[in-house]
Amino acid sequence: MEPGAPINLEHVARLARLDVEPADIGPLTEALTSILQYAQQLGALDLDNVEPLAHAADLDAVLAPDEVVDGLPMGTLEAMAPSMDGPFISVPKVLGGGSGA
Amino acid sequence: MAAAGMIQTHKQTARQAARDIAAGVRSAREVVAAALARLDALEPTLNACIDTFHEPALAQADHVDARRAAGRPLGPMAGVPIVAKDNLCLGQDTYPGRTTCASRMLEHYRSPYTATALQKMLDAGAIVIAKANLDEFAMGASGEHSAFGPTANPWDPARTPGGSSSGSAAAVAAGLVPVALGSDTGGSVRQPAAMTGLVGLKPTYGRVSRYGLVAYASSLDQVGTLTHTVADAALALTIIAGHDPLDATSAPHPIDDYAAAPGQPIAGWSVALVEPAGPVHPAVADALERAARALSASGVRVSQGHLPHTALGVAAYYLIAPAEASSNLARYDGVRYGHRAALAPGEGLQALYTRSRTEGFGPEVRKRILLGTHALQSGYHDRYYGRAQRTRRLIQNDFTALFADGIRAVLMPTTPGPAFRLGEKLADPMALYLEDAFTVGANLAGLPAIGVPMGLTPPHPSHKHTPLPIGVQLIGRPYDEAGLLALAQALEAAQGPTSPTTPTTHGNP
Repeated sequence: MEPGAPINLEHVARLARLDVEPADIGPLTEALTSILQYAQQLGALDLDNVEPLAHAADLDAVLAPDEVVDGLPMGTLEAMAPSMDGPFISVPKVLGGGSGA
Repeated sequence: MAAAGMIQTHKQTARQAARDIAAGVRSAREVVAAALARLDALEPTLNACIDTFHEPALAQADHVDARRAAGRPLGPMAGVPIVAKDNLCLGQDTYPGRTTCASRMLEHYRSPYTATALQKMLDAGAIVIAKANLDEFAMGASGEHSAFGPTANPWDPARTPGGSSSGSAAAVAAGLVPVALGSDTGGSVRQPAAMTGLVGLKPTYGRVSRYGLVAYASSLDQVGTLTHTVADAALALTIIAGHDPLDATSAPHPIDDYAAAPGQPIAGWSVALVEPAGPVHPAVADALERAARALSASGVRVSQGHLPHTALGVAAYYLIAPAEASSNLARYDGVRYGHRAALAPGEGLQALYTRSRTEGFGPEVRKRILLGTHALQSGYHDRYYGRAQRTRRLIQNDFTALFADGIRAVLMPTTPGPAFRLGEKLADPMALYLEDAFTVGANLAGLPAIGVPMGLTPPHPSHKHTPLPIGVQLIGRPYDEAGLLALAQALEAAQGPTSPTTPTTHGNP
């Protein structure tokens, strides 16, 4: 395997929608790098003619009967939401508000 | 606080308890009350449970007793107390409790529906006394990555019971219940079973519905069972196996008569003994040898087998599983359910996502999400995830080749050694990940596997350590759980079931 490029942890954390404390960047980068270094051994394999295996189940396209079935009641779903505004789940402004968008 | 009957109860198997209840030898209330009393006595030591259900469980026991009194038919688990790993959703109808995944993210989450595997146990008459502790979102091999604190091994409370089905294993090993449901993504049923002297069954991928099992790595996750005996594993599998329209990946493949499988003739079968590539504890090597001898004595042809790519399993697994986890756990964004961070005025939607996720997820989960996100990001996908998927194909091919040669099952270790001390491997993540070296292969290849207790470590010369359980593992052909159960029964018959009366629980009620 090609030598791994150094992990840009802040970039990866942004993609993952996670904050990393400045003090944790070093140790986390080191921990992830050690795992990726361990994974470098896969680079010794000749994989050119090997089909990737995404899923071990021997299933083709699975079809369900085209029937209307009941979902969970609206009230049940609303009760799970952290914040409601009338019949709507409320979130901070996406446009024109704070650091959104 | 010891009530009469408690010791009898914790030595009981599910089959025996169900038989006794059906025959009126004991009432379901007696059995469940004894289980709850034992839970109350040992839980301060074990920390095996997240939510407990004293009153609902006793009410359900009374229903079973009333059914019996009315002469109505009873299910095969009627009155049998169980625990379910807390990543299996449990609806609010009967057991008002949470489904937390041992995470702050879902600390207050109450599932409106029940996982199919758990529902099938309820339909069979099983009674849930608790939701069991686990590594957060099933990510771990020691139970230490739980937001609710680590679980202790009943054999030695200073040690881990293994993970991620830590609470499930501890609850069965300590004799609180005869059966627990767990989940196995990379060994999370078999590894804790080995470390607590239990039978741990991971069925073929798709054999048991994953509906209501909170997703970690969807192509690897499978619901499994932890029991004292092979017969109980067979009974539990009979109940939970089968196609489920609510899980498109559950297999329409026919179900065998698993309950009849233990004791079926195995003479003439071929089993491949795969020697560990790396170092293992001497007691593990010894257990493997004794298992091979026991099978030979039952007329099984045991030959040396090779799985040349199995040594790469951990490397492939720790790219594939985090990649799938990073995608699966993207749903926890603080909007529809789960933890939502309190925002300062002016903070927007991105802050809501990021702060909610950072506050809700523990360190190991955050680490695996970051690892998976890195492995999947543009420009890295082929290097990491792609290679891991191709390696996964080679690992599956190795097993397929052995099975094509007439091999019925592979015999190998479950773990490199016995239960380690809590805290021992926390500082070195790779050491903890290598705990999975022998177990991830079955998940990557989608195969059924069963861990069977094979004795104890020899007493330590200094007498500082109590003997600890050691397990071995059989990996079978797709959907051949019946074959595995028959082979496992031969091992159990040779070994004798590991006593559920463990050093910690001995002398306790």
